[in-house]
Amino acid sequence: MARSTPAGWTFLDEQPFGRDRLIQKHALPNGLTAITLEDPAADVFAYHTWFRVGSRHEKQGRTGMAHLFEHMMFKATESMEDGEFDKLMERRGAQTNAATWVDWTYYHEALPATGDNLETAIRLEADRMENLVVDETQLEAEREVVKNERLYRVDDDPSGKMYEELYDLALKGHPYGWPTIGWMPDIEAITVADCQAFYKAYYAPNNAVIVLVGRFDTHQGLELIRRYYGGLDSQELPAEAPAPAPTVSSPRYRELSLEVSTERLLVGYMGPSMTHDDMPALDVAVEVLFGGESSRLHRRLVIQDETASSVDGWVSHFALSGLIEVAATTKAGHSAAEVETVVLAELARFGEAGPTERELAKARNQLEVAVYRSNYAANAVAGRLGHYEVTAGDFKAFSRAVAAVREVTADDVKRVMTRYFQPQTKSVVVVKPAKAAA
Amino acid sequence: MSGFELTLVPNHDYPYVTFELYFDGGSITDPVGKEGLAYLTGQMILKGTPSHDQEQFAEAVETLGATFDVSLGREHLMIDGDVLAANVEDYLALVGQALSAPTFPQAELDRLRRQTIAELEERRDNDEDLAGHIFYQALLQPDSSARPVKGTETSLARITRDDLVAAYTQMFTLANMRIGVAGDVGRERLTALLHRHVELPAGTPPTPPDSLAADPGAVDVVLVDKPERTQTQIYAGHRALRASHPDYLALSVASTVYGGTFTARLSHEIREKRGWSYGAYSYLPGRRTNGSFVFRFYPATRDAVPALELALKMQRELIEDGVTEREVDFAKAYLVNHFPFRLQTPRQRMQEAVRVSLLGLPADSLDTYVSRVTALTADQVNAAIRKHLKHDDLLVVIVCTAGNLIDDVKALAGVGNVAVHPFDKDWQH
Repeated sequence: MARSTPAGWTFLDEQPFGRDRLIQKHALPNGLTAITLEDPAADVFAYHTWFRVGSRHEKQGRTGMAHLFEHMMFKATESMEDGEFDKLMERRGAQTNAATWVDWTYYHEALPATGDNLETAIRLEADRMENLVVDETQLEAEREVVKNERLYRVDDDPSGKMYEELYDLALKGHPYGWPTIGWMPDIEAITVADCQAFYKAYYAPNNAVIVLVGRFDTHQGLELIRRYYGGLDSQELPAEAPAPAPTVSSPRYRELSLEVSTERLLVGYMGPSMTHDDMPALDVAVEVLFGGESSRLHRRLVIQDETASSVDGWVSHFALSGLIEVAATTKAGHSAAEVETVVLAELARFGEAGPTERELAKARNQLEVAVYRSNYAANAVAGRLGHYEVTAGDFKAFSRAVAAVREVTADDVKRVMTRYFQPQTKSVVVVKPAKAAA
Repeated sequence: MSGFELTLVPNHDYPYVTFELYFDGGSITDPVGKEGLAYLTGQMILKGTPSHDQEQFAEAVETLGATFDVSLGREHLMIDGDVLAANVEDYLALVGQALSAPTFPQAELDRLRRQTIAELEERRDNDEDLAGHIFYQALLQPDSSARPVKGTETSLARITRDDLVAAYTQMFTLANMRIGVAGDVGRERLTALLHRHVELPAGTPPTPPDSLAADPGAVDVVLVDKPERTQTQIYAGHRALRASHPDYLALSVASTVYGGTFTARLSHEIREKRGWSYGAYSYLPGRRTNGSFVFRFYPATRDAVPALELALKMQRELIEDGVTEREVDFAKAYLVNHFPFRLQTPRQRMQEAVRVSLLGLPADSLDTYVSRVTALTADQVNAAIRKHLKHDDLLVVIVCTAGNLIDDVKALAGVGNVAVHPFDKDWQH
């Protein structure tokens, strides 16, 4: 596919995708970035707007601001009544939603590639980037919804509660230490003035990335984006205070009593940022340890010992250093402490011996299949491009990470196990059944 | 080998293949007292073959860059998996062993039983899962559809290896199997591999499942009592028509108007106007036999009774006053324009094609979907509402701290029996 750079845009980068497709990156003079990936065989397109603002940019006392504001973005603008955005989208059959996380907030529409759907999506997104109405009525309605969302995801959900406690325990004072949904008193304290200031500070073309994937004409799509966004002014973005280096120099423990049937364990270790050179080896390590029924920890805890009903592990892929997490649910009659002892022993054993060649091959194959799995739906591909562009600073970081996983050696895995799974840097949250405590 | 349905959606964009295999006979086929039998039988095909024990089997599958999972619904057992295209033959050899020659080791059965009991206990930890589980148990009783998919601690204890072998023999036959495949593999090669590796007896087509039993005859409420809840989980609904019923599409439009989208009546009144719940939706699950009309939301404890009262009033108005032509046009536009998303990926196209067969729909259902929705009128939708929806014959299940709600729930107009069910006890029919 030939490069296509319409007037008013500056070409920045490109990369082949699949057999014969091309990802392109352009920018407008006001700083708006657009990443496009045409798929002539598709019947739909996905239109994403990613803002480089997430909960890590919030202030203490106003946590939950980015997420609450995400809700506000579906309300009225100066030219559109409350609810009109959703109605226009639904009539067209759209999949519409938004999400907020530590490093970003994004809004997405996926629509059939017919009629004026693309222009409508572009027009509405440009409109709410600039002309949102932020008033008391809109804020109060969404505040109640968000408080209910918090009850649903955290306060009455043991898993949500555990994760909130782990990040508070391990990263208190760090911008990843507070929950993206916000502490309840902070959600209650956010004012209209806070929302207006947040909107003005962060919702600007030079803080946004548009991602367009699916059936459309790149030249025409960029021309439409320029027409609707080209007149928006760039803004001076708030300087981000340097985050304090997260340090855990001795093990931290926190115990919760919740309405659960058995004890649960959640352990966090300090990990690297997603662009760190150690990340591919960590991804492989975590796959060997926790990926599937033949993984080391599943085999040991769930199959052999039968002390846990499930065990999982993840590495945070954040812009700054995040956590490497290990979660286990114990079986009746077994304690979180007992399971933790085995987890630590297995981690140490793996760190010393490293993976076998078969384990390495298995992890590489599993990680490769996971890439293919997410290559088909326009929304999934757009999400991946947006996440890497905003969080890693470059959409191509994804393909670099995929290539790097193929090169990971057993020695790389041993090295990162020793570096990151240090007993003194762990933070541990244990949940015990309230009934037992009573 | 012949006698089973194969749906293939070829796609060569990436060296990747995805599979779904369905066998008729879900928990609906479990004998009374041995609920969970079909579930254990399905899981046990992964636990040992003549050449691999459980660990070796999992290791072999995952080394290929593959997944192989078994899940059970009320009406079907489903196996789904995916694999790198280069490894399709080795993968199908493993799938064939699991399907054709499971060894059902006693020690693995005992371990699976312990694991399943642990999972049953953990379901009580999640209020949303707990509410959904109890709702469908209570809604579908005493029909065989109500048999809990994973059984109960008591029923699981009664199941023997001989039961598994008998259930396996009944379920795993060619006549009972549908295969869907999407991705980088050709039909000729795929058919040859399936013939080479999957050996099952011909079997006979399954017998049709039980018919529906009656609804309660009032608004019956079950309060699933759990300590210290700050939020409630509310499911309400009644049995409704099956997916192959001629009125199903018209009733789907009605459900879309009532609670099928973000701007629908329920979400608008409960979430947007009042902020009472993060979500408020209705749906009409497409089933081969026992369908249902369900609406749900999850307000904070203090808003639970007003939200329920409002939702019940709105459901009654839906039935008594119907929907407007404008609402029907909007819902039809949504359903028609949303349809491409159901067919977006090769896997989705395969799943939708298999679903036509699973639900007993006419073979051209997907081809005619848009024209059938477009042709629906407000009169047809309102006729379907009057015929199939009920406002005085509902079941409501609420996970909550019962003491906070019981008096106010009993005082609600139209409410009949209000029962309190401890969250940590199995539902008894």
